[in-house]
Amino acid sequence: MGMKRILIIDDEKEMVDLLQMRLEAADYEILVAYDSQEGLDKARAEKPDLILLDIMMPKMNGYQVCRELKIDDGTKGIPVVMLTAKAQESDKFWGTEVGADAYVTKPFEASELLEKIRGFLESTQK
Amino acid sequence: MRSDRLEQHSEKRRIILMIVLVAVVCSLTVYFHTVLHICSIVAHTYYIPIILAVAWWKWKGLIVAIFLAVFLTLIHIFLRYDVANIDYYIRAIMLVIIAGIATHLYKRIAEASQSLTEKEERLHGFMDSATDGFIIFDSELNCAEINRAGLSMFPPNTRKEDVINKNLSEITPDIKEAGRYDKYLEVIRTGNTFQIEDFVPHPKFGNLHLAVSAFKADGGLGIVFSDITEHKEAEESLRKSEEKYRQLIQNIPQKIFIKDRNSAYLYCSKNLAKDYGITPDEIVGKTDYDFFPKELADKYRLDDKRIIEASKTESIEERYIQDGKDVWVNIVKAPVKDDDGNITGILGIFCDITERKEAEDALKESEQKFRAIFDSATDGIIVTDQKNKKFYAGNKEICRMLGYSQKEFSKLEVDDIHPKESLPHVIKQFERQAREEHILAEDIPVLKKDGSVFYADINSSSITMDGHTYLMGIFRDVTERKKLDELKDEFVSTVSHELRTPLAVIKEGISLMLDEIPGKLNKKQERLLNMADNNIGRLARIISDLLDISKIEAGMVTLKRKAIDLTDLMQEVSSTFMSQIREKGLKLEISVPKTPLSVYADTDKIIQIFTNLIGNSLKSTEKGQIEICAREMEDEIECSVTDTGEGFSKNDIPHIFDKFQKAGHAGRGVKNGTGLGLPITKGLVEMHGGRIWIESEVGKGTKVLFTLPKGKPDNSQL
Repeated sequence: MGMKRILIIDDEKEMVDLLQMRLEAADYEILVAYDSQEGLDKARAEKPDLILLDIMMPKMNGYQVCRELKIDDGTKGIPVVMLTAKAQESDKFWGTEVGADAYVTKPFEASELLEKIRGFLESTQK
Repeated sequence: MRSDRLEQHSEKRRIILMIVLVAVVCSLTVYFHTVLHICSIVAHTYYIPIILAVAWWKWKGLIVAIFLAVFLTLIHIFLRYDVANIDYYIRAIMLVIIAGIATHLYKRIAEASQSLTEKEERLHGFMDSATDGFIIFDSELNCAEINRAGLSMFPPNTRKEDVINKNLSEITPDIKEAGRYDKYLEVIRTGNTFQIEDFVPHPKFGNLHLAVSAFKADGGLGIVFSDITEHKEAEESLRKSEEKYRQLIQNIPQKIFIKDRNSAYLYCSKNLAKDYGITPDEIVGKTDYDFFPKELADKYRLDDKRIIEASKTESIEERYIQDGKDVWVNIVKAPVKDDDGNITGILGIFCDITERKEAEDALKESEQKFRAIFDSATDGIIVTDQKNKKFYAGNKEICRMLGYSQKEFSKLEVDDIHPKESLPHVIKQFERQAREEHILAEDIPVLKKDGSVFYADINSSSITMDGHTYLMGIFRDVTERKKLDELKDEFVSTVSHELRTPLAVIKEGISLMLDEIPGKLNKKQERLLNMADNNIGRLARIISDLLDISKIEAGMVTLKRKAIDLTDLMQEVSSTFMSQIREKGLKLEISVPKTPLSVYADTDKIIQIFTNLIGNSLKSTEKGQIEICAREMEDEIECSVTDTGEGFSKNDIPHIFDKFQKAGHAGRGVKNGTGLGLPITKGLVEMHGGRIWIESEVGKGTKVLFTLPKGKPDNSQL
């Protein structure tokens, strides 16, 4: 059993760097995509164990990416944790509507995020 | 009856007449016998039946008498065989002549007697049919005659015979006591007529009012009495009614005068006379020129003239000097007419209306004042009749807002100033108003004259005037504000997003360093980074609260209500605070009833309320305990969070729920507060239809109480 692989899709480079640093420290293998299309492609090609998905992205936003992932048989089994600076009820609503598995608002507590990720990865680990 | 009496009467006379005749005839016969032939008187007694026969049968009797005379003479001649004695013939002829004269005389007498009887008869008839009573007494006051009306004054069934020939003192026993008897005697003695009006008790008709007139008549006394009871009663009632009107006119506070056609006074009431400085009697014949300056009197006369000419009542309001004071009077002047409808003068009634006039002026003034205030209001105001929804009043501003002139506005009603599609909503607000004291209807679309729509907040309250209910709506154009609100919402939302993104990067960066992932830290570095981390947390909370409060205020928060058990929820919330409470060495008490407390509420929001309140208490309390409590009231649940912390001063309490009012202030108790916790809590409680308030004392602690409605409340927020 190798390291779990997490795909981070976010257009904020700095945020991606920080997340990568944090998650690598927690012994995960990190894949990175800086825009939605790249993220989708990587998800389909690499089949990561979990995807961290930002909502506010140019061209295609996180919801749309999530929907695409969830209708694709190849990727729909991958847990999607949405990350957003938007904290409105409607955001949460849309998140769950398109099939996101969890929702974390920025700024987040690292421990909380890790706990959530760990929860998904352990449950998928048969 | 009457004719019987008449016959009796004439029979008497006839007998008397016959006796006289017999006597005359006898004496004549005796005379002739003596002179012509001495003869036995007895022998000639047969003349008597002749005379009687004449008297009885009149002309028929004369013929019979002639036959008898002839027959008797023939018998006499044959019996005496004295045919040649002329004396017999003379005697027979004499006899016939005497009989003829007697008959003639009798006839005349009988005729005279007949006419007298008829006259008497007529007189009796007249007397009896008279309505006045007559009694005739002789000089001794014995009753000689009485008529029917006279009899009717006596007790019923009194007959004429009961009275006639009786003395007055017998007929009316009490007359002597009254002194009347002597009075009547005096009338007879002096011949002076005596007249009196008398009350006579009558067994049948009660008291009779009689006019009695006694006069000397034919040596005796005649009394005429007429029943004037009705007349007297009419007179009395007239007198009473006149007195009543006189009293009325004298005592009513209004001043009254009556003038003739030439404006000369005929009458005036006491109080008017007092104003004129004279007595009511002195007014007669005077004119206004006697009391008023010429110009005024001229005006009054003109008024009078106009009223007489137009034959119309007028009500005139004018100033008038009374007791040297300037007063306002209302004079009603009316033409006075006689029975034929001719105008005979003028009636005037004065009313002091000074008070009314002053009140009117004051009213006018105050109306103008309020109208000015009404019109200068910068908000549009409409007063609407609650029943028919027609506009009762509107100020200048509302006309300006709607684009109608004030005249056009007055014809409008509620339906005219709202777009058709939003009318049901407006009407619903209108009906809500009927139940509640005061409401604020927000963002109501209002239709202008030109067809464009603007949005207004309508603050309405009901007014009751003269038993009519009106709604007063104060319109504030919020189109600009609405735009601004939308802009603000978007701004807040964007700003919070834009703030969160870099904040997340900073926080995560510091967090990574603190977790020593990039490398080891020394103590100083760690302290500084911790400081930064704390403040980033605080900044994040402020941003989050700001977003919350702006959403609550904008009404953008929707409650997801369901029936929840408050006791469970309170346990759950307090458990999340347990570690912090233990850390500070405090005690936490939960006081709830054993039975579940069901409220219809949004679980997340109730958790947020308790979290905020317990969090606040935790921040301000250094020792003692925090108690959370819930109990069932009549139709709501009352919850409270009590601490033994710093407490708030009296001055702070009223502002405790204002935004950014961190009473107690940072640096003392409330560390890391955002200043938005309590306003958010208040907003959440009120969204649920509850109330929130605070009891606190500096140094003793704070108790925040709030209520939540039981069961399923009105979804008035939806």
